[in-house]
Order: sequence, then structure tokens, then C-alpha cells
Amino acid sequence: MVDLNLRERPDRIGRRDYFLTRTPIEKWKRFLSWFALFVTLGWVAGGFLLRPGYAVDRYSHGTLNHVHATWDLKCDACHEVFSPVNENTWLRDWWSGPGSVEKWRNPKCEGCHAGPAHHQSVKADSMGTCASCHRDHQGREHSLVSLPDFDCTRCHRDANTHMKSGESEYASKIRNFYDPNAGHPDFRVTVGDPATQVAMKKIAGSEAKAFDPNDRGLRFSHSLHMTLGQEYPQGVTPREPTRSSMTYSQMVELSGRDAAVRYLRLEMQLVDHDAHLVPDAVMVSRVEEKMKLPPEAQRVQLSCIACHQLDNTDFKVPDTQLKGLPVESLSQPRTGGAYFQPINYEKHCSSCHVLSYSDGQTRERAIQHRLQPAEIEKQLERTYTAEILKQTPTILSDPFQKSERLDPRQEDEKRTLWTQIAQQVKVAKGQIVEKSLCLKCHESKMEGPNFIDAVTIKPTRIPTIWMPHSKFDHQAHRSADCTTCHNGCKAPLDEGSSDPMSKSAVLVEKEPLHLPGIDNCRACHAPNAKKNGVAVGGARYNCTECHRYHDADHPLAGPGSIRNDPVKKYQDSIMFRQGKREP
Amino acid sequence: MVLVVVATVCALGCWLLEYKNRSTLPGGSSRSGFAFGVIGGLIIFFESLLGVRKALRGWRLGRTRGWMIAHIWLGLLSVPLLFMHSGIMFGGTLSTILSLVFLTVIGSGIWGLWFQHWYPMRIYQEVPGETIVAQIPQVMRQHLDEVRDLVEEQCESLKREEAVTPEERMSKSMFMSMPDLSFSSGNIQGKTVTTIPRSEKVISGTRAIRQFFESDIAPYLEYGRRSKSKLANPAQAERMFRELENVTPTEAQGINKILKDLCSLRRQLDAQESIYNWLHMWLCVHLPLTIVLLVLMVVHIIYALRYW
Repeated sequence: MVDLNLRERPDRIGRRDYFLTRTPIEKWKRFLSWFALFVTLGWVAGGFLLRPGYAVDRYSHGTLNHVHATWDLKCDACHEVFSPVNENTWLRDWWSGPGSVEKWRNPKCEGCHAGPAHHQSVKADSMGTCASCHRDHQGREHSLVSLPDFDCTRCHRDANTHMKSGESEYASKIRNFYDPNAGHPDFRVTVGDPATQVAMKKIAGSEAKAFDPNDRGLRFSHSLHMTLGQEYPQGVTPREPTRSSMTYSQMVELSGRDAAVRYLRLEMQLVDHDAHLVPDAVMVSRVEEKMKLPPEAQRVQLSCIACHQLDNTDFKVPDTQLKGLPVESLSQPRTGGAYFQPINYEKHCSSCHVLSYSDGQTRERAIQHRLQPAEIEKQLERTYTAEILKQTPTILSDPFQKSERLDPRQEDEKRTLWTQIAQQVKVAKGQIVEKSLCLKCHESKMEGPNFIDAVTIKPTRIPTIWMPHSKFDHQAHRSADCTTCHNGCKAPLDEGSSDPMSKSAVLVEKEPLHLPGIDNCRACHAPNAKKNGVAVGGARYNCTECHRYHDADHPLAGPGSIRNDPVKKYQDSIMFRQGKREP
Repeated sequence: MVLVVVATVCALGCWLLEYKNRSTLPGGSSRSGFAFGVIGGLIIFFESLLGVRKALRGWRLGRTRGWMIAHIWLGLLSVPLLFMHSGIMFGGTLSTILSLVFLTVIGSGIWGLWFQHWYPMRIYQEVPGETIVAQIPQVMRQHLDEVRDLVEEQCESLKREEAVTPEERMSKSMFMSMPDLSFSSGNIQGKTVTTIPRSEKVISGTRAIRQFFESDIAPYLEYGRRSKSKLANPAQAERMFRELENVTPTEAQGINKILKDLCSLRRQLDAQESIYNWLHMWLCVHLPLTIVLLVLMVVHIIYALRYW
């Protein structure tokens, strides 16, 4: 037997450089590292080599909104290289020096969106770049115009400090909408704020200098019109003692079957949505059935949609009824649905309120709407003159000749004719006064028994948009009953009704405004909460839900208005799609 | 750790201060976001230098302990910084991949850190006979050779002509080194190597030992669990050795004990190998993704600055 000597002993550990031998894990580690390096470089390079121009999609920091999707692969369409497009201009300021107003401008944005500034009275330093508020790269569906409140309240929480004059004409400390203590005032038009006159001036032009929202120049009672048969409730004396309920028979007599069909269809729609699909011929037969009923059973029931339409197709008035009027303007084929169409006499009033009088001769005569009393008199003269000329055409064939000598025969005839015309005009005027055709609905500047000679009818001033500094979409609120917000328009209910809303329905002929106040909005447009165990709020309450930033000096300029978004220069469509601008 | 917490709190304060005057969370192009991006990028670059330092360990670039402390804590600091840099948004394709890779690298690092702390304790408790992992095959081959000599010399041959000749016996060492796993001192246990003199006496009735050795023990000692031997299971090994003891004479119980200890050692080294794999496997994720992170970070920097 032998013992291991000192040279042999190290051999017991085999290879002395065993630590240089890589374990399987080390081999994998090395392999995966090289693999990752090549794959990553390949991914980066592949974008440029295999699909030139498409690689930027990989490196973009977020998907563009739909409206900018055309330039998904064209960063330079919106970005200036090494220049900030968003609010983070600090590095550029540090580099090139702050203070320039131009630093806020984004030429690339303004190439297409030459939106005017918010208020001309705002300090330049208080304005941000386009992307300060309109943040893209947030996904296809991300809204560029629905902004967090802070984008507005960063200035409006202390608006005075951002004004050139140091004082804002609006509430200067607003933190949010939903909190009554956060500074948002109630709507001026609803609280009778004198400043409303200033705002309304913007609606109706310079004539509205002295505009008072409660002086609309019109006598009208929603409550009365919403009552079945438009009957005055017991205890209220009507201005016209002979007035009777409005029935379908009466409507047919006044305006024909077409009008009765329209109103009956609207009445049916209150209980049957598909009533609009019923053919006109069937509706005619239903009107006839109605007319056979006793008067109490055929009274006309009006509803909100009888007059307030978001789209003109909902109330097809035949062109014959609009004769002499700009039909296309009054009945636009499509509307946005945000605001109700303007009410006008020919479409919404004339079926019941026929402007006619009897001159004691053969028939009822119609007079034209939209005329002042003095103009009505001239119209009457023209009408009767034309009739006389028609009856005695010889006057035209043998006209009165001027001669150097007096001609008693001709003068007598002339005098007789003028006397006859004047007499007829006088009778007609008497009838018009007696029937109070104008003053039934309109207010005059000076009322009196002989109004037609000296009175001027006040023009009606009912703006389509009552709150010019906000936007509102009636269509978005269509699921709510109109009286939820406009509760003053409700018909007076039976005394036995338990509906608490009935107490607010007041029958008056000169109504106050039925516009809801801000608290009405806050009932839904506020954060989710529970009040007395009832869930309230939940609807969006951002500033931008109602307000727009741009062009606040012209609040009624809609999104499509050149005033709101002037196009500086029209683009060639190919260059436009490529994100290039003509020099 | 205190420094990292303080730095995080300060950074968060700056970030929230900037957020106070904005409607959205400050992102990469805001003052604080940009600063955090630069700092975070530099930290990532520094973290990757650990690999360089390892490759150039002969240059003695600082102490390993210092590098590791900096690597761990700066790596953890980069998480809040880069979260704030991103405005807590993933963004587009590149930034999303970058964020996910970054999070995976950090996650794998934390995973590795945890293993590095937990598994050595397990080795200490479960593998008293530990050795250098790369040397396990060599060590076991050596033990196998020695125990094979022992079995061949003292156990009856399966065939008569296989008996060890005197010449062969003279060429071997006079002593044999056998591991003794029963050493313990207080809470410490470990492996000792006992040197025993060779014996020329063949013990009769030990054919079963030799047969068991050839069929089960030798493959298991050489290949460990890869041999798929039942000896890899301690309970089954115990049962098999008990059966062996029943059929062998009392003089041969010493050989049985040596074989049993070697099988036990093999099981420990198998466990050590397994622990070692777990201990280093995270690097297969950590290192390659760090490379991906570095490349994508460069691309991100170029594009972020170009299209601010």
C-alpha cells in the first residue's frame, strides 16, 4: 500500500481551474443575455429597416385621439423637433429665455385650429399652450375637450389676477361647480342680475341694451295651454268672456284637417310612441271619430312637444301654411338637437289663433302676421282697394285723367271710392280691435281702445339660447320629463292631486321665466352622494360640461363658426394627410 | 435605507408640489418628472455597471459589499423615481414595454435578494455536507472510487475471478477517506472525513451488499437524482438499508453505515444543487432584461427629447 504524497494530494479535487467551468445556469444566463440584446436591437432596427415610417408608432408615448389618427405615423405633423408642445416649456425657457408671448403659440396646432383666445382681456402669461389643456396621446376615445376642472380653476379660482385690468366682470373665485360654497354663482338670467342685460346684448345685438328677461313682449301662459282644452280653471275670469274650449272640431273649422291631424298625433304620442308611424289617412279617420264625440270629449290636449321641437321633422307643417315665409329656414331638415327650434306663429300658433276678422260682408278675412298696427292699416287699404278695382275694372281701363278743367264726375267717383275704402278699413279695424287679435298675445307700448292708430307692438324677445356663456344639450336630457326642470310650465292640477309639483304651477298670463336655477342642475351634476338616504349626483360636473374656453367673447359662435375657429389657410388634401403645411 | 427613504420622501414632495399647480400628474416632461427621469436613468446605468465590475474583479473597483449595497438600495430608489417620471402611466408601446421590463428587472432583483438571504440559511440547516457545486461530481466520483475499493476488498465477489489480487491491493493507498456526517458541535453540524486503514479481510455473507452496491448505490452516488434511484427518497433509502442490514453479518454493519452515509451525502448535495439553481436562476431573467432595459431606455430618451 502507498500513501498519497504532496503532489498527488491536489489531484483529489480534479481540475484545478474548476471555477472557470460554467454551470448550466451560467451558460443559460449568457445565452439569454446575448439573445435579449439581439432581439431588442432587432426590434428597434426592424422598425426603421423593414417598415420605414411606421416605426414611430412603436415609440409614440400613447395612441392619438380619433381626430388626429390620420397622423399616427407623422409625429412632425404636430411636433416641432426638440420643442415642447405641451405646457412643460420650462426647458425651452431656460434655454432661450422666458417672457415671450410667442412661446405659448403652437404653430403646428394653429395650422389647422386657429382658435381665438379665451378673453382678449386676459394677460398673455395666463394663457397656456394648446396642449396645456388638450392632451393627446391618451387613447382613441379620450376626449380632447372634456377637461379636468383644474384647467379652468387654475385661473378662475382667482380670476382677477389674470386679467389685464386686474378685475374680472365675472365671478372671480370659482373652485368648482357642484359645491354651493365653491364660488360658482347662480345663473344670472334666473336671478335677475342686471349684468344679464349685458349678456343678452350679445344674444340680440345692440337693440337688447335694455333687455329684461322678464319683459319678453309676449303674453303667454304655459299652464293655460297645458290644460285640457286650454280652459281657464274655475275662479279665473278669462279675458275673452265668449271664449270656449279648444276642440278638434273647432280646430278643423279654423285650420283644416291637417292641423287637427298634427295635434292629435302629438297627443297620441304621449301614450303611444309609435303614433308617429300611423299613416295620415288613418289619422284623418281618427280625427273624424273625435269630431263625432261630444265637445267635452274632444278637447285638445297640448304637451311640451306640441310647440317645442328639437327637430323640425317632428312637426311637419305643410308648406302651404308657411306660404310667403322662408320655409327652408324655418324648417331645417336636420338640427343638432341641443336647443329647441324657435317658436314661430305660423307653425305653432296659427292653427288655433287664426288672425282673421269679419268685416260684416261675406266671409272671414285673414290678416298678415308680423305687421305693426300702422302697417296693418295700410295692408287693409291695399286689400280693399284691390277688391274695388277688381269689382270695377273699368276704372283701370278708363283711368282718371288729369285735365286743366274741373271734372265733377271724376272727383265724385274718386271721393266715393275713397270713402268706401275708408269705411271698410274702419269696420275692419273695429273688428280687429274688438277681437283683440294682436294684444291677445303681444304687449304694446301704449295700450288704448283705439290702439291701432297710435300703438306699437313690442317685438318679442325670446332667445333660442338663454344662457350664452354655457352650452346645454336638451337631447342629452331627453329621458327626463320637461317639468323636472321647467316645473312652472305644468298645468294646474285638480285640487285633490297629491302631486307637490302642482303647487308650483301657477296660471298667469305674463309668466316669470321658467328656467331652472343652478341648484336644479346640482341635483344630478355633482359627485355621488346620499342625501337623506337618497342617492344624489353622479352625472358629470366638470366645467367643460357647460362651458367652452375658446372665444368666450363671442359665446354664441358655435363650434362650426368661422369666428370660433377661423381657418387661416385651406390645405391641399394630400399634404394635409401627410401632416405637411404649405409654406 | 434611511437615505433611500429620505430621498423618496423628498422626491415625492417635489412631485406633489408640482402637481398642486396642474390638473394632471406631472409626467416625464415636467420639471420634477424630467429630473427624476434623468436620475432614474443614471441609476439604471450605474446598476448595470455591477456586471462590468464583476467581469473586471481583478481591477479591485471598490469593495463588493459596497457595490451590492449601492446596487440594491439605488435600484429600489429608482422605482418611485421612475414611477413619478412616468406620471403613473404606461403610455405607448415603447414606454409600456420599458415599464414592464423595468418592473420585471426590479422584481427579479428582489426575488434574487430574497433567495440570497433565505437559501444560504437553508443550506446551513439542510446540507451539512455541502461542497462547491461545481465540484460535486468530482467529490462524489472520488467517494465512489474509495467506497468501491472498500466493497470490492471486504465483500464477497459475485464471481470468483473478480477477487482483488495482491498486486492490485498493493497499488492502493494504505488508508481510505470516508465522510462522516455525524459530526456536530453545539448548533453546528457538518461533514468530516475520517481516514480508516484498509483491511484485507473479506467478510463472508456480504454478497448482498456488493449486489446492492452495484445495482443501486453506485449509479446513485455517481448521478444523484438523475439516476432516478429510489435512494433519492430518504424514507425508501432507510427501508432498503434496513433490509440490507437484516441479511448481512454483524461484521459488515460498518460497511453498511459507510454506504448509508454516502447516500445521505449524495442526497444533501442534490439538495444543494437544487438550492444553487434557485439561487442563481433569477439572474437568467435579471441580466438579459437589464440589457433590454438599457437599449430601450436609450431609444426612449432619444424620442422623448425629440418629440417633447
